[in-house]
Formats: sequence, structure tokens, C-alpha cells
Amino acid sequence: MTAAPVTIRPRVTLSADGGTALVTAAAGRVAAFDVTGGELRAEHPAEHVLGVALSAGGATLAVATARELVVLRDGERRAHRLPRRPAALAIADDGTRAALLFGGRPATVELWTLGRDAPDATVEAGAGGRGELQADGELSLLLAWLGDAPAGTAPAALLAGGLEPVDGFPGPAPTAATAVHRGRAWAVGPEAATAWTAAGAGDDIPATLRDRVALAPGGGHVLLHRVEADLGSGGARVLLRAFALPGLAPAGEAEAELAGHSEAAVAVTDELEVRAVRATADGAIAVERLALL
Amino acid sequence: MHSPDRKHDAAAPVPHVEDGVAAAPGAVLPLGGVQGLLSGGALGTGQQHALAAGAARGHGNASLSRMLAGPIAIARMPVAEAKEAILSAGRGLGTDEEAMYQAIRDCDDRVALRGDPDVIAELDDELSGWERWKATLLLELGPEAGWPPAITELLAAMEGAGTDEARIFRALSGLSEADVKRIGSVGGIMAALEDELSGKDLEAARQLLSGSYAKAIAYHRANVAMMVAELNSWRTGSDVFLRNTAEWLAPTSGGSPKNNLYTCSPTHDAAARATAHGQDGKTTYFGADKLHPDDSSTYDAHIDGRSGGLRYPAAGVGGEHLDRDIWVYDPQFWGAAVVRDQIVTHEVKHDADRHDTEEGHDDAYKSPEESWNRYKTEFRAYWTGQQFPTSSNSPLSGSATAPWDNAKQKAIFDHMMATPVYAEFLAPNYNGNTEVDGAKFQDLVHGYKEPEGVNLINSPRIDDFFLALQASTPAATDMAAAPLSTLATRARGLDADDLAAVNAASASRLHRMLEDNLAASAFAAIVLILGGGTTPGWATVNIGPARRAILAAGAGLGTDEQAIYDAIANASDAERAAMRSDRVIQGVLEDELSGHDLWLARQYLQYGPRSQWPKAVLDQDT
Repeated sequence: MTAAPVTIRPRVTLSADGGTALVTAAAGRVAAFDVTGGELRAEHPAEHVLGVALSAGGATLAVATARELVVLRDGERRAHRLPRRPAALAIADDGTRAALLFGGRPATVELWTLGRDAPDATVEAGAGGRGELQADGELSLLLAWLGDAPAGTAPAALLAGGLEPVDGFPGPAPTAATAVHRGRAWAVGPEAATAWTAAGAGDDIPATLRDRVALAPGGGHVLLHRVEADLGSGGARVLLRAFALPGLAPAGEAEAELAGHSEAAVAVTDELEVRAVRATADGAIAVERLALL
Repeated sequence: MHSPDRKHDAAAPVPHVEDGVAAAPGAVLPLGGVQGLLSGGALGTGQQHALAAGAARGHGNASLSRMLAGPIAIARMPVAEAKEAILSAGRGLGTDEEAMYQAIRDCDDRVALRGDPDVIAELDDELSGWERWKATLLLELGPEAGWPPAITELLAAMEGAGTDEARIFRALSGLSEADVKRIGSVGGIMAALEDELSGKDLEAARQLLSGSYAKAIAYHRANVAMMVAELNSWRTGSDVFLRNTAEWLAPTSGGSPKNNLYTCSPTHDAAARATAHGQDGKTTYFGADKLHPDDSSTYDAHIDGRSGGLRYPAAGVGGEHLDRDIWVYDPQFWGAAVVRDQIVTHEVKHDADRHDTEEGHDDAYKSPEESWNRYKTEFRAYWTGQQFPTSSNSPLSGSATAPWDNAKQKAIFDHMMATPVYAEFLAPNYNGNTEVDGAKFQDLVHGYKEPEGVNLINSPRIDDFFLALQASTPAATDMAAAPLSTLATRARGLDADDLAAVNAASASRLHRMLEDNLAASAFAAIVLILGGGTTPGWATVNIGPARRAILAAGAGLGTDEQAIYDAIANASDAERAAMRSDRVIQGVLEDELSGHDLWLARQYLQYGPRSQWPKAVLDQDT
């Protein structure tokens, strides 16, 4: 046998509103970029980074290290002591509050006002050593993914207000993807993408497990995008469908070809311009316009 | 180069008179007393020279007593007197270097002394190379006792007849960043080294003294420290996978790790060195010569040097695995999360899955068989790591377009096809749709929708169990004796997470091994342990004995058809159902039987003993 290497690819994830891109695993740092202009908004050396989160509106970047939660906002940096290593975190748009997910059996979610000595609220939320947190800009709706290797994580809990569990989430059907923004948590199942709120399951859109959700910054539209055909060499033909909120009336539909589909994140603007965002090898971003719906 | 004809002491550092002379405070000794002391061997060579030189130049007893007195009693030499001693030492034929050094050591105001242009001019005129640097060191740092050990060693390496280049580079390589700064502030070292070295040696010395080498060494130590801290935190965390991975690499009990972990860091000349070593476009890392958590690795400062456990991974490679070794490259650059989620767990997975004992492992690189083996181990490693998290790469069936099953499977495949180190073996086999044991490569890849394996959670306890199972054979039936007693002990050593993993459908290879390597009685006993007192669902049917009988019947010259029929006929309905989908049994039947014989075997598989065959089938058997 020859040596088996592991190659690290730069990874891009978007803020819930799609306006800010977070690039990790590149250039020895974690960095946030404005998707429209490409400007660097915030960065932090990768060395001690255990977890990182963009706020829903992208204005705040939070970095968890072994001992600290570092909040980067408007060019300022504030560090807060962490009680222990979190499995995942979320940060409010104003940078004053954070949600921390601690793995375990059970796992727990804690809501903190930064600077205080104790959490504002704590709740048990499923089980697992690994997790992810999605949240809206006010941390009024939190969605926790939990699990263990080898299966990985799955949606485990939806928490509203002061970490009140939303009954029935995620439902009996498997959930392939989720997104949280402006008081709604979108869950993509085999039949539909459902908009959950603190009150429970709400409107839905016909969908498949291939659909993914992108949300317009202003909260007026939701985009569902899915692979319709594999074009080879990593490329895909994707179906783009936009719906207007709150009634979910169709607002536009198109197909587009997307190279390197697995490595791209999809964003939609309030004007329904659909963009593919990728991380470059040097740790920046490249933005491609896919369609105007 | 150094001139061997110069007068100087032996290569050993010169002890300062303040350090070791035990004469009584204020003692005034006659000259004869000095001679007696010299012959008595109470003084070091340098002191003897200094005393003798002082006496020869007519220095009074006061001076000599200062040289002999202890640190408290010694009266320091005024600047004017020290200056005169230095100038005197340079007069006439030859130079008394030691007298100059001693005057500097004893001077009560070295700042004033080194600010005296006459003194500096005299030192410049009379001394060169390491001797001049030594004078500078004494002027700047004071007596040798206060020098950093690395400087003392460096000077010692330059002193003496000839140049001990190896010792010089050992000393230079041992300089910390602080040492380098201190030496830089003193100055004069390069002039001294130019007297001793040339060409690539001199260039390497320049690199060492630039501080870049010392920074690389310090950075490496920080890299190792980071790995130590990370493994310690994983060991006590809530993630089973990480806990196991930490135990795999650094057992809490302190026993031998399952893998040799090497933390590697870029050399100070990483890209240029790679080019010099014929590895264009790559990066040179050192540290592969010291096992975790040893952080003492160094490397040859010469750009063409190859010591220090050098490796040259391609760009973007965060770690590698081969046999028992795992190399992690520059963890600080990638960051703790990437090291945790994408590098270390990935590389341990390559070992934990024991693909080096799986079909294809010993076939030629890029062959269909070896490539399929390699694809599976990479797939397992990428799947169980966090490089493709399930929140953005769904593992659910139906989350990708046909022929793919799920988005995570497709994303891993795309990543490998887009990455040269994988594409070089994967692309020719996938695009050419080669065959592996009769199966099409593309079908295998598309059908591999989630990982399977003997140890998907990187558990060292499961690995111990696997190794004991590997050493077991169906001939063993005594549960109280090795190897079965060992296997039973290790089965009992599995924790709840381990048991969940070994009883999962994804551990089918382990289940097959249990069937193949154990006698029926031993199988029953072991699976009872694995099931916590009840037989696990997967173990209710054991076709191991039948598979062995069929393999034996087909082995060698000729085929014992009746033995094959009997093995099938004697199996239960459930066992025959399992045999019908067993690739090994089907392979033997198709390889060894044909025509009516094969037809018969299939009827036995379908219906069991002839007494159970439908009349219509019996009628066909004419």
C-alpha cells in the first residue's frame, strides 16, 4: 500500500440570510466575507478554533476555543470564558447572547447573556457527542442537530423562546436539511419542506429529500434548490424554486448548471438573484450568479 | 577557516576564576605559592594560563590575588587597569589572548571598556575568528558562567585545532529563539563562523542564526503541545468517536498505542527544501522521527539535509496513514476543529478498519482490486469524520439522484474524483468501469452508499477483539484455552458503545469473520457475550460451517460434489436462505459446478434435502 492521505478542502457555509460566507479549513484562519462585495468582515487564527458560528444576519462571528468564546463584530473583539468545550454554538446578531450545545447523553443547550456568570436557560435536547446549532438572529428559535459516529447528526430538537421545546419536531419522517431564519425553521422531508415556528409545524412546500433551503435576507422569500441531474465531474443541473412569504406563493423557477455542486453553497437575494458561493484555495470566496428568478 | 597555530586553550569552555577558586579571602600569596597552586592542579587551564601570563608580565600580587580570590572577596579591575592589561597582552611577539579575556572578565565596568576605541582596536588587531567573538561575548555578556549553554557550546565547537562542524551545527540547531536574539544583539558571530565555515555550511549557519530555524523548532513544539492537549480533551469528552480515537493513539493506561502518531511541522525552508529534494511544489515537514508526545525533533539546517524525519505531502494534505504510522501535518495551521474532525479521526479510521487485511490490499496500486479496497477505506474515513457533515450532506436514501443513493455518498465521491491523490487510482477504474471479482467498479461505488467495516467507531477494544478473532480458527473448541479464552476476555471487555457497533449491520465483515474463524460451539459462546446474554439477531443464522464445508469440497484438484450437496442439504431453512445470497458460496458453486451438478446444488439450496423437493423438481432430475 502507498500512504493514504487526507486532503482538506476549504469549506464555505453561509449565514442564514445568505449575505455572509464563512470560510474554514483554509489559509490558517476562519474568515467571514460579505457575499455581495467579497470584502473580509472578520477573521480569527484557526489554531485553537474548536467551533465557529455566524449569526443569522452575518454581522457577528463567534469562535469557540478551548477556554474562550471570542465574539467579532464591527471590527471589535470580545472574549468570554467558556465553562467547557461546546459541541456547537450560535450567536445573536447583536453579539450579546450565545447558545451553546454540549454533547452528552443527554445533550444540553444553554442560552447565555455574555458576561454573566450563569446561563439564562438550560434544556436537555436529545443525545449525542456531536452536534450543530442553527438559530435566528435573536436566538428566539434554535434547532439542534445531534448524533454520534458513524451515523452522524440528525435534527433532534427545536427550541423556542427561553429554550422551550417545540412539540412534534421534527416529525416522523426523515429530515434531510434544515434552515432557520426570522422565526421559522425549515425542515426538508421526503414529501415537503415544512416551516416550523414556535407554535409547531406550519405551511409546507412540496419537496424531495434532495431539496435544500436558502432564505432571502429580508425574509420575504424562500428558495428551494435541488439536483435534478448529475452532469458528471461534480457538476449538476439544479432546479431553483422561489416562494413568497408568508403565503408561499410561487415567485419564480429556473434550472441552472452548477459546477462543483458538492462544494458550493447557494444563496438568494431579496431580488431573487440566486448565487453559488465557493471557498477558494487561498481561503477567500468566489461568487457565481446562477439565475435571476 | 580556523588557524590551528594560534595560541589558545583547550576546546573546553574556560571556567571563570569567580566560579571555582577557593583561596582564602584576601589571601596574598607569594609567586611560589602561585606555582604551587598551578602544579597542584587546583586551577583550570585557562586560569593557569592567565596567572602565568600575569606573573610573566609582572602583575603584582594584588592582581594575582584578585584572580585567585572567590567571588565575594575579589576586587574587580578598574577600567584603566583592564585596558592596560589588554593592550599589554597584545604587545610584542604573539598575543596573550587569555590575558585579554581575563582582563575583560575582571573589569568592573565592561560598558566603559567596550566603549573604549583603543580597546576595541586592539582586540580587532590581535584577535580574529572565534577568539574575537569570544572577546565580544565577554564584553557583552560578562564571564562565561552567565552565558546561555548554547553559546558556550557553540564557542567550544569552534575552539581548538580544526573545526568540529558537526558540533557547531548541533550547537546552532540547539539555539532557542531567545538565544538567537541574544547572539544577534552581541554581534560578531557571523564573522567568527566565516572563519570556520564556507559554502552550504555557512549558508546553513546563516539560516540558523537568522532565527527562522529556531522559530521552526519552537513552532514544532507548539504543534506537539497542541496535539497533546487535543487528545487529552477528546479522551474526556462526550463524543464516543473522539474518545476512542484518543485512546487509540495515547492510551490512558499508558500502554502501547495502536498507531505511531507523528506530529510534523514545516521546516523553515519548507518549499525550497522540497524543491532541493526533488519534490517540486510540495512542502517539507519534519518530526516523523519522534513519536507522540516527544517534541524534541530537530532537523539538519542544510537545505539538502535529510535528517529529522522529513516528509513531503502534497498541497492540501493534512495527514497521512501507512501501515502503523500516522502523520499529522501542521495542526496549528489547520486548527483544532479540522485536526479533530478531518485529520486525526480520518487517519485512525484507516487503521481501525483493518483494510490492510481486506481483499485487494495486496494487489498492485491502481489495480481494480486495490483501488476498490482503497476507495472503501477512504469512504469510511470521510464518512465517519466531519468533513461532510450530515446537516449539509444528507445520508438519507433518496437525497441524491440515481445512481447515487444519498448526498453524502455523492459528495465524498466528488471530493475524491476532484483530488489528484485519489483521482489517480479512482478515475481510471470508475471511468473505465473495471471489474473487481466479476463486479463492475461503478456498480460497487454506487452501491457503497454508507460505510461498513469491522470497527467504524475507532474503538481500541474492538480492535483487540478483532485481532483475537483473526488469530482464532475453527479447530479451536476449548473456551478455557487460547485463542478462544483470549477472544472471550476481549469480548467481555467491550463497552456498551462497542457492543452496539459490533452488533450493527454495518459490522457485517466482523460477523463473517466470526462465522469463518470459529467452530459452531465457539461461535455460539462468543455471540452470547456480544449479545449481553442473548444471541444477537445477526447471529441467529450461522453459515460458517456450511461455507467451510463447501470451500473444502471445492478446494484442490477435482470437486467433491456430494460434500457440497450434503453441506447445503443439512442446513436449516434460514441458513439456506443466507447461503443463497452469500458471495463466497455462490462463487464456489459457479466455479466448481456446471450443468446438472450446478442445477442440483441450486435445488438443494432452494428446497433442502431431496425428501423436501417438490415432485415437479424431482421429475426434472432425470
